[in-house]
Amino acid sequence: MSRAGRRLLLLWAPFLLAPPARANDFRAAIDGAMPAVVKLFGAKGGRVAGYASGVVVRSDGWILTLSSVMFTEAPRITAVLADGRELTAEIKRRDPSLGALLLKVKARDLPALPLGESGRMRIGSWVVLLGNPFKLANGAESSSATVGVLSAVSGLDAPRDAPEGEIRIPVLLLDAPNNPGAYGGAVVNLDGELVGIEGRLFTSPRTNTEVSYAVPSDALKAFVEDGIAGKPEPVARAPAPPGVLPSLQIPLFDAVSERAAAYVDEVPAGSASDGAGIRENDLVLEVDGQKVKDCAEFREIEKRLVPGEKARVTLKRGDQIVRLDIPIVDLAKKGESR
Amino acid sequence: MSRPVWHRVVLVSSFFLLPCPFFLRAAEDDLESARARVRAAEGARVDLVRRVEPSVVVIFPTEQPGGGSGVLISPDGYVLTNYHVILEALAGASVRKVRVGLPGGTIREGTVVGVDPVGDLALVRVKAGAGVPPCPWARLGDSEALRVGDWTLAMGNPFLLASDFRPTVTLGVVSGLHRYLPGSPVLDGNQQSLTYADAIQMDTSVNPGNSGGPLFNLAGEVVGVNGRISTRERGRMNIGVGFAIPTSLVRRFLPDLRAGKICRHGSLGATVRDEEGAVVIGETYVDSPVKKAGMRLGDAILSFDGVSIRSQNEMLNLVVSRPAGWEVPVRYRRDGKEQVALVVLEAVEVKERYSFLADPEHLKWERDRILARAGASAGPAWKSFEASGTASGRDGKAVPVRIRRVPGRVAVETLGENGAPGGGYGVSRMDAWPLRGGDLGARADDLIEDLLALEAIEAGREPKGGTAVFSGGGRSQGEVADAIEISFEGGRRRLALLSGEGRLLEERYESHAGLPVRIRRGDFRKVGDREVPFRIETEAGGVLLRRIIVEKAAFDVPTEGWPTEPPKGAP
Repeated sequence: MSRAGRRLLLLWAPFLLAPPARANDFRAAIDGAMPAVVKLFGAKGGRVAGYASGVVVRSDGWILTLSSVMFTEAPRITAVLADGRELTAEIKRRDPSLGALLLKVKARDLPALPLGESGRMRIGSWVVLLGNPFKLANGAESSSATVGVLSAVSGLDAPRDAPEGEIRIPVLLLDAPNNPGAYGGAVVNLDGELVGIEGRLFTSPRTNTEVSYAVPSDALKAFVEDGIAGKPEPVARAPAPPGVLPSLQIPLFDAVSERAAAYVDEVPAGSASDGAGIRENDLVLEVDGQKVKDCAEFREIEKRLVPGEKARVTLKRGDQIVRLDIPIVDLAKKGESR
Repeated sequence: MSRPVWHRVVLVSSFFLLPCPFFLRAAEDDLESARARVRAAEGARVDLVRRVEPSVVVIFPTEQPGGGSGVLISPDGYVLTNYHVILEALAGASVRKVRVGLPGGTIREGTVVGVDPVGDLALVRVKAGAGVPPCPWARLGDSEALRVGDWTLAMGNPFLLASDFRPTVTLGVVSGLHRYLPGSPVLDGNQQSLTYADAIQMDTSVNPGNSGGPLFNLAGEVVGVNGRISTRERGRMNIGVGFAIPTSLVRRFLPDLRAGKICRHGSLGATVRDEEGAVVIGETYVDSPVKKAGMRLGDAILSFDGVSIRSQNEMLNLVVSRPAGWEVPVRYRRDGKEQVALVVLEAVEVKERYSFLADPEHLKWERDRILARAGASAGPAWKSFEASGTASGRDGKAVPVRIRRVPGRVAVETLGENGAPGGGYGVSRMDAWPLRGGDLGARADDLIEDLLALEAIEAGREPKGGTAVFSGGGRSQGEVADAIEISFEGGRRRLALLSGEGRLLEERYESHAGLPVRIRRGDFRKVGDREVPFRIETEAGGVLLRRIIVEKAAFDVPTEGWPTEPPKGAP
């Protein structure tokens, strides 16, 4: 190589050598995102922990998290900001299909982390989860950070007892540990962009699996924008007009009480239910994502169905979950009655 | 163009083109450089593991299989581990003996030297030095420098997987810092509360068997001792939340552990509560540490030992992370005014499961080591020492002084105007006499004893007429120190605090009048091959009596003009 060539190489050498290993590859992401992570506290409900995490998505006090019984049944929700301030949070918007919840606190100039582009994430990319597992952080103490990679983007066959119902959109599957309390926390990429909100940890003792997922930020953008803009929520279905009797034609065992759980009674061979795949002793859990607590509730939900469409009914059969699409008929037209 | 000009053109234009590699690089080059970075990091990690692995050990407390991990932290054979790992050894047939497995398969006998039942630490010693192969050891790093997101490596023997004692390695990040976890029924039964204070939270996987093992940073320094995990209903298995005792806390208790003590953790003797964004003193009792320091109910605590306090949690966390007996500055506010109190922490109550006494042989060995370090740091024996500086007393007036010492004698002279000698004190083993009027406010007997003890300790010996015992740890001017307690015939006692490098930092004793006296030395600087304190402060009864600032110092100076006899008429 000529002298000029060698000199050139020497000049450019520092740029060609790989830099040494850094003690912390996540500093920028954590420093940027942590101030927007909040700790949420609500009422306790059964097995559900009374604490979770959330993310400030706009500096005038809008907080994004995921829904849980702890919030929807709580008389009061408290948000503890990263600087330790405790504020009451108001639920402003819900989206049951995503399990998303938008809260508002009275504050200004809060450090905020707007939703980023989850669509640009690649399988194998690093993610940092910021949240408050096990309530380890109190007051102004910093929330916890844990790292992992994006393992897959996939739809999820969510287990029955997810209070927020089924998640039907593709979610981000992560291999970072998810623990009680981290739910609703921020999932950020190496650049500190919010690419997801930490979801529930799904476990199956039978198969000994745990699945940690996050709701992608792209799926939440419209929800947050509509919520901040104050757009009205999609209207719950109104009851059917008088004279219409919507029915799924599922015979329930309600002889003992209307308040008994919605178990299916005998299914006559050749009946509509039989044809639809319903079996005796199935337990009706959900209709179109709405929980069915008992027979009476089932009837209420049925009244709001629209004949001619199909309803997705979730049943428990033994220890299996079965989902069926049942046609909705108008009993008035059919001339039958119970 | 001629060749040299062509070269210059190319060189000059490359200065403009230098940033270009970043912009003109194609996507493949980006990936390649990213790969190179990852490979370099991986290579560095693998090298690191190989380097520190020999210091990570397995500890078996009893004849039964089952145990934990530990890490060698000094060439003397000290192994740091968790208290709950060696607990069974304290009651067993061969009391306090544990078996320590080194990577490679050799087993050495270890003795439990000191324990910390509240902080979950223990110190074990294996034979080291002559007759045994050298112990590879790991350096203690600075856990205060950790940031959330920092990479850490945990090494140890989870599930006792390693039959040849080679440690398992896991990688993760620091998830949180300064966590407070009081109580652990799983680890200590119902005897006492194991308290993890100021703990490092990490997602580095640690499982049963990892306890007592080291948490390393990427520089290969120990930043924590792994000891605890959060669990869910599935039992004791890692779920991404683990905790380590930070080395900042370990360092504070290490001298007491080396001195064979049962460590005591600090308590204020008062409850604190959160009140409108401040942390306020709640209940306290008459002789409590806070009361003795002048604080009272309702005072709002702003900082503890220099750390700002924002919540009751933080307060409890900090207090228990300091040893009992330490004097800690507490800044507080009362009626709008800010004040500082010095609180001497009392001990958290602990019910010991097993009795534990220091081994006198070991104490003597440690004492000799500490004195030897002091002697070594002081350098070879010197004939004479002279220093000039200024002394200021209670009145604040600064007076020039000259200090001269030969073995057995010291003179502190005040210099008048034009540098002419004023008054002062000369002291020798035989007697003491004033040089020329002048009184610097100290009694001669005290100065003689001071001189004797000072000289002996600095030379690395026990003082004549006194016995020196290593009594644990203390703190002087921000440094954690080894405490040597010297007892003289007649009951007089002195405490000498020596730094890890062997510098005499402070002496404490009670004057004849019963006042607690402290002589602190600081601003050590090298003079020749010796380290000399350039600031000497004497405090009696909490009041600063005298501060001497040394400006110049020299050794082996000629001693002409040095008073060799008391002046006529001196008492």
